[in-house]
Amino acid sequence: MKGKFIALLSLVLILAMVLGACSSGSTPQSPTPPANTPAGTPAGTPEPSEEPVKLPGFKIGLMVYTNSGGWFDRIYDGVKALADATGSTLVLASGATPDEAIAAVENLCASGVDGILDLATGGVSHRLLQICEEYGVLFAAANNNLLQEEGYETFRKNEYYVGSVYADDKQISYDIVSDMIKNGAKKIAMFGLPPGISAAFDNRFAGAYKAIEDAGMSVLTEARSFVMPEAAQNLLTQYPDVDAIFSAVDASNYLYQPLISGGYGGKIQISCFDDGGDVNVGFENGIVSHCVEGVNAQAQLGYILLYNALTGNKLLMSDGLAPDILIPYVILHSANEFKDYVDRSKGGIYSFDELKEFIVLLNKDASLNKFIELAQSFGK
Amino acid sequence: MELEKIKRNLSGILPLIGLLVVFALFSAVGGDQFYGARNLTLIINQCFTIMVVAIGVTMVHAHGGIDFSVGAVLALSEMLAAMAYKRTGSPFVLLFVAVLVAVLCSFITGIITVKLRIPPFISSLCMQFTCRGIVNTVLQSKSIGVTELHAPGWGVRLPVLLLLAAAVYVILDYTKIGKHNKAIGENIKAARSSGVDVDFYRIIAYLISGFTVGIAAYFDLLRNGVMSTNVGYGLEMKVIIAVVLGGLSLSGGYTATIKSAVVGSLLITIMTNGLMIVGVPVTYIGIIQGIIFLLVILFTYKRDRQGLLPR
Amino acid sequence: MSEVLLSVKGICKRFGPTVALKDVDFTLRRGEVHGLIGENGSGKSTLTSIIAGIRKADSGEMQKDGAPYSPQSAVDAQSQGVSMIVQEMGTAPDITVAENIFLGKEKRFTRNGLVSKKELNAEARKVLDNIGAANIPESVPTFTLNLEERKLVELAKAMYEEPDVLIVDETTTALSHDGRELLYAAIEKMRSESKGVIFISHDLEELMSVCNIMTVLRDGDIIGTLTKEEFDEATIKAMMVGRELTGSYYRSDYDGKVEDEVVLRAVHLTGAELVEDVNFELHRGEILGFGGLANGGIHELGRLLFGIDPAIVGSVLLADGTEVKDASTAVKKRMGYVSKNRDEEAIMVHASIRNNIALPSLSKLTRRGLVAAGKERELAKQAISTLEVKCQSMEQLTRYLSGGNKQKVVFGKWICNESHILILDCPTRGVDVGVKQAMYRLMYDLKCAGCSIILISEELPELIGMSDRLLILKNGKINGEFIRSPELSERDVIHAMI
Repeated sequence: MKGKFIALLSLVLILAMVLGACSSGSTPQSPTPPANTPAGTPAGTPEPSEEPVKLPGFKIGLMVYTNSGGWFDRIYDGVKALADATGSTLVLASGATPDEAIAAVENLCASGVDGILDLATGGVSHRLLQICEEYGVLFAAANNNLLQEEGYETFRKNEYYVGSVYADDKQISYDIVSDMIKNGAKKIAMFGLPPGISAAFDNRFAGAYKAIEDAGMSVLTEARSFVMPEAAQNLLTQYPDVDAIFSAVDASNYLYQPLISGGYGGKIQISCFDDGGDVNVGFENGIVSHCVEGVNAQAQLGYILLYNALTGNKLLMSDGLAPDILIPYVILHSANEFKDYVDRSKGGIYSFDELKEFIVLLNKDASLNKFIELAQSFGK
Repeated sequence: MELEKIKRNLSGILPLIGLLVVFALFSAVGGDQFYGARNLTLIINQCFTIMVVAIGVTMVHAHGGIDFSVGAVLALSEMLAAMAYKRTGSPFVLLFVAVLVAVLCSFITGIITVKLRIPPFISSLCMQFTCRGIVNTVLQSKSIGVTELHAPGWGVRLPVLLLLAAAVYVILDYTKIGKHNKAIGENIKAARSSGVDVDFYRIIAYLISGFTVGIAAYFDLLRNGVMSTNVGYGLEMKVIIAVVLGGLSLSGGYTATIKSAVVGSLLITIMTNGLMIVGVPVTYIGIIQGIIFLLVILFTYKRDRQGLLPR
Repeated sequence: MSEVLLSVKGICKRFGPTVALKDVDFTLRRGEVHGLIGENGSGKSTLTSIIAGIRKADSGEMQKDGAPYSPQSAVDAQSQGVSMIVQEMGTAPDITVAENIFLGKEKRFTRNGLVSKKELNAEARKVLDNIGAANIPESVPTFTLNLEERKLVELAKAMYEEPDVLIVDETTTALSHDGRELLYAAIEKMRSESKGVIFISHDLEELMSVCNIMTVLRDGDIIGTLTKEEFDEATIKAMMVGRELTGSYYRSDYDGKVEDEVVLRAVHLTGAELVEDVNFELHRGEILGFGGLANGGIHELGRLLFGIDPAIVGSVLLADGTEVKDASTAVKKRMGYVSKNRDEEAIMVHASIRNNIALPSLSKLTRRGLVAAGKERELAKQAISTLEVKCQSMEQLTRYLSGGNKQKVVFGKWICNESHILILDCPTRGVDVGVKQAMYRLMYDLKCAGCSIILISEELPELIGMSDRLLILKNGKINGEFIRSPELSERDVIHAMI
């Protein structure tokens, strides 16, 4: 009994300290209704002003399905740089399944954010928009193809929907596998989680399968399971002559060591998405051939859309609807390219200077079309 | 002995006190952003699925069983219910099918565990893989939308929660079903030699558990508005964490109560919600949750039970 | 008077509010086989566990061979020449016999950091042969041995160190005839080598035959010490209980007449193991005893009769024609069963007395689907008072009760269910003299009230003393029937058993 009371007391003390520390750090925001009236792209405007415009700051929620790893760091770096430059603060949240995504958005709204940049919609954007509407919070998405989601035609018209930036998972996977085949791959295996975890993974595999089919080949084997280390082991023991692996996730933890010690360096091609931080090891040992990057760019562009809307200057298309911008991925083929990309991503793959011409408060002529052009030229 | 009685009662209320303390702390720091009506309704909606399933699964835990299939069964129920709704256009059919499928799956899990004498750990895992497999094969990465249906708000959910909690509380503490399951959890041999039909009553526990999963599926589907293949992932672990946090001993027996399910579910929901409202940086949330969990378990865990895990 | 080997003075020990030993003095001399007897809770296990280093006394001092003796642990005591064979299971089931014998002492067989299994096993073989256990293999995992063999392994382990003092705590209950012989041989060896043995047992007859001096404890006090010449059953019993045991121990009548009405019939009953083609009838108000060697099938028969184990051939039939196929049917038909393994099979140790007592009767207490809590409490209260269960309250967990009181709780649950057929398997095992007598009285009262009892036991005096009719099982088959009579003796019955 004594032990239990001590435990209870410690719980109280620790919680009190932690919460006290946190609350003194952040000021609880009262939910402010956004000062927006969705405006069209401002045409020529009066008063050229010379003084530097002070950018209003906002509290912005950033939702990603994971909060750690190299991939996440690059995304966070980029968005944070923009947030700092615009005097805004970020609140992080995560959630993968539909109910987690809903809970995360609810909690963000309840904690008083002004806008949400969501990279993990869980496929329930229509519901997320309803919640945002209730709280008066603006919503932008990145890294999710909202056109495939239920209720898209309805929620895209929601006045709190700001737009999205996404890439074509299916297409890039198709391109990668076609490239692998062109490079001489004959025995291609699939690696990753089982179907049904997320639309992104499923799209990637769909593209990969199609490439193999179109080339008239068949898949060597599917190593897709929740227990990835085991799947990796089985793959290598049963198919030692595999010469290409299409991985829809970051396989570094499970595949690279066995491959390197198995002497596969230089004899195999492997793809990697959403890198957790070790892909350069793969490159250096001649294991990885294609590393897909670019989500950090999507996030930054999404932030711009969101920020404009928060200041009351939504960028809209000619039909008055919010834009869903398709942006290419980049594929990195070597350790140098990867290192280069990581370096350039520090502080954001796009610098604030590159993007400030698209911030309406700083440039009344900010053009959505040029913004889209910028996006589509990513990586070229 | 008075001291004994006081100690025993106190030990029972300790989890509730813990909950109140956590709530009070978040209220003090978060202000009415936290304890305001709006946020409270959020908490009710967010803890609903876990709590409803936890309440039902308590029946299974009472006899020392465990169910790793609840997330997958939830998904399968939602899928078949959504499909049935699409075909008939009736929300009542949705509810009916959701409950029916969940009860059937739990029934099969129960039969395999009890009649084939396969440990519940394994049989429920098999059910999990089977249900997930069916969902993935049928849906093929597509999803089914039911966005036109209005999601019941806290006004419906709160009464449903209270009703379910009260019903299972009565069953667990005041009926043969509950008492026999607890006896089985205490000592199955002694229960058998006292005349308890251990097979029959364990299967009943699974049926009750299935029923609550069905109810949870109905509300979850309506809340999401969409049935997609990643529904329910990780639910089983969340439920187990919730009940253990609330003080349930997974080996079952007479110490099993509804309280653990209710308190535990509320605790984890309040923590996620509260920590975000108060503004704890996400990088620290993990550590803080870990410490809080450890402390909570220290004072909810009944140490003179035979152990935390099922035998 | 031979010299003092072990001397213990002023030992006190409490466990929370309970005082286990009050200022106890005890002396063991060389060449003594010193019996220690007392009811449960009298303090004998506590005293010996302090001597063996398993526990520490709150106050008092000990001396061995004239020098101060205060062992820090059981291993420490062993190294100082005091070994104990404990009451519970003292071997680890998953390691081999040899590993158990030398548990903690592997160093002597270690070369270059590795334990030499060959040496370990060879030495274990020697030790086992030394106590006469030539048929116990030394390199098999211990769980493959039966309870008796495991106890003998503990004996070998204790004797290996050639102790000066050997303490044997309630060991003989686990041993059969042959096992006991080995134990007695070891004890005799200690005596002839002028060493000392402290022997604890519930079996007064055994104590009187094996020991040459006996000390009686009651409620943490030493009541008195008797030399062999002074041994007298009645006196000792009186010292243990604190009062004269009036009346006869078992039954005072020799009337083995029973009614004609048959309440239960076993027809060609054959089980999966050890029970073959058993046929008999149980009459109303009859106490039908079943005796035999441990592996004669008597315990398995009990399980078959109650429906816990399924019958392979044949059946168990009740008066109304119902066949007993499982325990829940049996209970519904108001049968009751007290298992031999009380803590594992008959009682829920971590549950309250109330929950234990009420369990079979829940159907009776249910109105419209709900169990009436008030009625449940009433039921438990009645049982507790009728059987005089010593407890703090009905909510107390049964694990805190003494063995005898636990047994009363088990009886209680069947009495509350108004059972009219009771199958009792070793009901007085591990129970004190005083409680035993109360149970025999209860059995007789139940019989007179029309209850039919099947009494399975390995204690012949109990069977002869209580049964109206006694059936002996040998190798699973009925091999003899004896009717109650004052002339019936153990010798007659043993013939049918062996």
